[in-house]
Amino acid sequence: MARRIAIASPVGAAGEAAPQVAVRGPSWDGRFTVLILFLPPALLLFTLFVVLPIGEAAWYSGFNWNGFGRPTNWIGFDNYRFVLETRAFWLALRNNGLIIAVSLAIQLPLALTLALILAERFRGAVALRMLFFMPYILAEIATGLIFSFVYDGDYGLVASIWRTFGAEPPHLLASTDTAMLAVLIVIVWKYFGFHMMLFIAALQGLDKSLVEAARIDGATRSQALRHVVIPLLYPTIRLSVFFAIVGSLQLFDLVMPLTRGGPADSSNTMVSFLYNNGISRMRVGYGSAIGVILFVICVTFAFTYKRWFMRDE
Amino acid sequence: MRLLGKLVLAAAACLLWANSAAADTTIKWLHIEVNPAQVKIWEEVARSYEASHPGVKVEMQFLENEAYKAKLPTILQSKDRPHIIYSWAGGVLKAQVEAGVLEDITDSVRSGGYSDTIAPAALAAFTQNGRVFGLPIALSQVGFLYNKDLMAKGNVDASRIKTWDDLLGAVKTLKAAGVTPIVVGGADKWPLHFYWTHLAVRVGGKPAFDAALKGENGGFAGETFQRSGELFKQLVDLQPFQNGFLGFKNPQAVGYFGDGKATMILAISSFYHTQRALAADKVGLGDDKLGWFDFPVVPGGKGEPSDTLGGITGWLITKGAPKEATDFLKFFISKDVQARLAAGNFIVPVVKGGEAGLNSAFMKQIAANLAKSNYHQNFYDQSLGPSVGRVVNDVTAEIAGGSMNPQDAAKAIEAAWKQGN
Amino acid sequence: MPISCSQRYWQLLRNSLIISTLTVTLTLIVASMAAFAFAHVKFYGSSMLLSYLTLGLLFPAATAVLPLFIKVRDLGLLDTYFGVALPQVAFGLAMSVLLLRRFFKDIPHELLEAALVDGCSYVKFFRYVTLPLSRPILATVGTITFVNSWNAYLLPLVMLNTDALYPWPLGIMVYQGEYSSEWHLILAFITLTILPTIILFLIAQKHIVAGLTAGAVKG
Repeated sequence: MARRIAIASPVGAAGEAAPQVAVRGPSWDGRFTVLILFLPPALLLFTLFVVLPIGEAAWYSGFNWNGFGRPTNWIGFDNYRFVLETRAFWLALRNNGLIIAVSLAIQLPLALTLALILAERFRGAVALRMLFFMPYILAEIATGLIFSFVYDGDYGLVASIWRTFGAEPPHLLASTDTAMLAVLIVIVWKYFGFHMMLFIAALQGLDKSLVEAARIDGATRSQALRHVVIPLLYPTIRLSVFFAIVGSLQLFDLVMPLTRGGPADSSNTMVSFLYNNGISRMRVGYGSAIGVILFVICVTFAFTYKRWFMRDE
Repeated sequence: MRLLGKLVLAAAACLLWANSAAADTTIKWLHIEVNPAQVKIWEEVARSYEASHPGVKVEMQFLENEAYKAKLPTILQSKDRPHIIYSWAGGVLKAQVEAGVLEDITDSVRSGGYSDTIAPAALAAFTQNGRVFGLPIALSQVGFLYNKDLMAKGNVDASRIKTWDDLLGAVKTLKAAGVTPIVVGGADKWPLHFYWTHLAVRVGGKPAFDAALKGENGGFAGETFQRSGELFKQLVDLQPFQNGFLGFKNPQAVGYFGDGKATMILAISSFYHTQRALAADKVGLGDDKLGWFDFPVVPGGKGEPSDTLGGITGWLITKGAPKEATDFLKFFISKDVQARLAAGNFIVPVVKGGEAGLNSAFMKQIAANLAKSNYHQNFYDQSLGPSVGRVVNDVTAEIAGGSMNPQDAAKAIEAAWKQGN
Repeated sequence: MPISCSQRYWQLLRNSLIISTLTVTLTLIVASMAAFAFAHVKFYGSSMLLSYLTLGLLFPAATAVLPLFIKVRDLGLLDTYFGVALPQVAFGLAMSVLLLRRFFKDIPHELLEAALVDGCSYVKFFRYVTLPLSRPILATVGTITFVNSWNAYLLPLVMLNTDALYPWPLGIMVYQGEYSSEWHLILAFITLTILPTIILFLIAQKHIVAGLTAGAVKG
C-alpha cells in the first residue's frame, strides 16, 4: 500500500532518486513511452508561449525597438527609467492599489455576508446565488459596454436618475475625478458573486457539528459565527484575497470599453497602460519593460503571500 | 472522445470553409471613413474598376479611426495585411518606410506622366528619399466651424473673432448667454491636440517647428511650445467645452455639433459635411446655419495669419501587394473621381482639374486658404511619428483635464522626442 | 437593425466558436496527457517539471504580450485562429493539468496494475480507462477553458487583424466604434452576443460553478 501511494503521488515524495521499477508488471519501457508521448506537447507549448516570452521580454526591454526586423539599438536600462518617469505609470500602479483596497474593504465583506445568508437552505436561495454569480461569467467586454451605457451622461440610467431630481447629469466616465470610481463600482458588481460562491462552497464543506456544539454550549448565533465559522473560513478568505489581488493585476478587458484608461490616464490599470503605451505604439522595448515590472510584482506578491499567509495550505 | 473527434472535424471544416471563397486577385482596402455618402462613391468606383478588370475584386474593410491607429503597427506585421491603407503621411509614414512594410510604387506612379497630374506638394508628402509609397487623396484645413443660430443667441459676431483674446471673449459671452461654446472629442485626444498645435503654429511659425526638430531653442520644451500650452490653458480655464468632454469620442463630438448643441468645434474642414452623417437626425446643420473662421492669431506671434494646420491624407500600398492594387489606386486618384468627390464636398482635391468639381462656397474657400498658405503644418500626432505624436496627444489631454501644467507638458514632449521611441 | 448586422453577428459567433473549440480541444488533449504522466508515472524530475508548469499560475498573459506577439508573428501564425488558440492553451495549461492530475490520482491504482499485468499498455489504459472515468473533470476543465476563451479580448486584439476573423468581443468593440452613440443598436448587439453565454451558463451551470470555485479552491 505504501509503495502504491508513492507511485501514485510523485510530487512531494521524498528522495526522488533514480527511477525505481514498480511492482511486477509495469516495465520501464511502457512508462518511457508515456513520458515521451505525453509530456512534450504540454511542456513545448508552455515553454514556447509562456516561459520564453517572459525571458524575451527581459531581453527586448534593453532595446529601443519598433518591432520590425531585429532589435539592434541597445539602450540598457533606459526603458525602465522611461517607464518610471512616466506619470501615467504611477497612476496605473495607484489604480491597481485602489482596486485591491476596494476588493478587500468592500467586495470581500459583501461577498462573505451574502454567502452566510445564501448558504442557508430557503426558497430562492439557489436562484439568488445564480443571479449574483451571473455577472462573473459575463464577458468583461460586454459588462464594460453595458455600464458605459448606464453611465452615459446623455442617455444612461444614471443620467435619468439625476434628471428625476432635476439635476444636470454628470459624465462619470469623462471626468478625471470620477472615472476610476465608476470603474471600481463595476469591478465590485462583476466579481463579488465569484467570491460569494467561493465562500458558499467552503461553508457547505464545513463540519456543521462544530457550530451545533457551540450553540449547545450556549453561544449565541453571532458568537458562533464570530468564533467558530469565520475562523474556519480563514483559508478561503486568504484564497479570496489572493484572487482579488491577482485579478486586479491583470485587469484590462473591463477598462477598455469603459474608459480606455482615460480621461488623461486617470483610470489605467497596469495592463491597460501596457496596451496603450507599449502595444498600440509598437514600442516593444518600452512595453516589455512594463511587462517585466508587472511580472516582478506578480511573482514577488505570489511568493510572499504563499509564504506568509498560506503556509498551512 | 468521439465527441471531441467531431468537434475537431467541425473546427477543421470551418477553417477550410473560411479559406475557400476567393477571386483571382483580391485587393484588400482598409479605410476609416464614417460618412456613408462618401463610402458609397468609393464603392461605385471600386465596382466600376472591377467591371473593367475581370478577375479583380476590390474588398473594402472598415476600422474606426482610433482603433485603426492603435492596430496599424500590428496590422502591418501580418502576412495578410491589407494592400491599401489610409495614411496621414508625416513621421508615421517615415517610420513605416524605414520598417520596410510599404511597397515602392515610384515607377508605376511616374509612368505615363501620371504623377504630373497630382499637386507636387501633396505627392511630396508621400515621397521619402525620392521614392513614392502612396498617393494623396485630399487636403484639409483645421479651423473653427460654428453654428450661426447659437452665435446669434449669444450675441457674438463670429466674423470679428480674429485674435486668441477675441476667442476667449466670445467663449465668456456665450457661456454667460447659457449656450455651450465649444464641443470637442476629448476621449480621442487628437481633437484637443489641434488647439495646442495650432497655437504653436501661430506663436512660433515654421521656424520654431524646424528648430524644435533640430533640438534648438530647447526643442519642444522651448518657449514657443510652453507658451502654446499656457494659451491653451487660458481657454481650458474658462471651461468652454461641453459637459463630459473628456469622455466624448470625436464622432460623438461632431454629432453633438451637428445636433446644434454647441456653438463651435475646432474642426477639420471635412467635418463641415461629416456632421450631417453623425448628427442624430442624419440631417445635421444646413449650409445656411454653418459658418467658418480661421484659427485666431496670437498677437506678437511669429506665424503668418495665412499659415495653416491640416492634413494631407492619402493611401499607401503595403509591401507585397499585387500590382493591381497600385493600378486601382491610380484609377481611384484620378481627375474624374476627384471631381466627383469634390462635387460631393468631401475633399479638397489634389489632382489637377479636380477642383473644377468644387461647388460649395465653403469648400472653395478652404481650397483658396490652402492655396495661399506658405506653411501648411501637418498634424503633429502624425508628423512627429507614431510614438512622439501619441505623447503630444496625451499631454494636451492632460492640460485639458487639468492634471498637467503647460511647462511639464512641453517637457514631456521633448523627452519623448529625445527618446525617439 | 441594419441588414449587414445579422451576417456580421453570425460571423463573429462562428469565429468565437472556432477559437474556443480549438482551445478547449487542445487543452483537454494536451493537459490530460501531461496530467496522466504526472499522476501515474514516477520519474526523476517529475516534481520539478510540475512546479515548472505551475509557474504559469503566477502571472497573467499580458506581462509578456509583446514578445508573445513577436513570437506568434515569427511563427507565421499572426492573423490565424491558431495564433490566438495556442497561447490561450499554453496559459491555461497550469490550472488544467493541476485539476486533472488531482482527479486522475484518485483513480484506484489497482486498476492500472491489473491492466498492466493483463498486457494493456499505459497508453491504452489512458485512452480506455482514465479518460472515460474522468468525464466530470474533463467537462469542468473544458467548460472553464471555453468560458475563458469565449470571453477573451486581449489576445485576439493583439493577434488578429482581419475583421473576418474577429471573435465577438473584438467585433462588438468595432461595432461600438462605428455606431458610437446609437445606443439602441449597440445594446441590441450586446444582447445578441451575450445570449449564447447565458444559455451556456444555464445548461452547464453545475460545471461552471464547480470549476470556477471548487476548482479554484483545489488548485
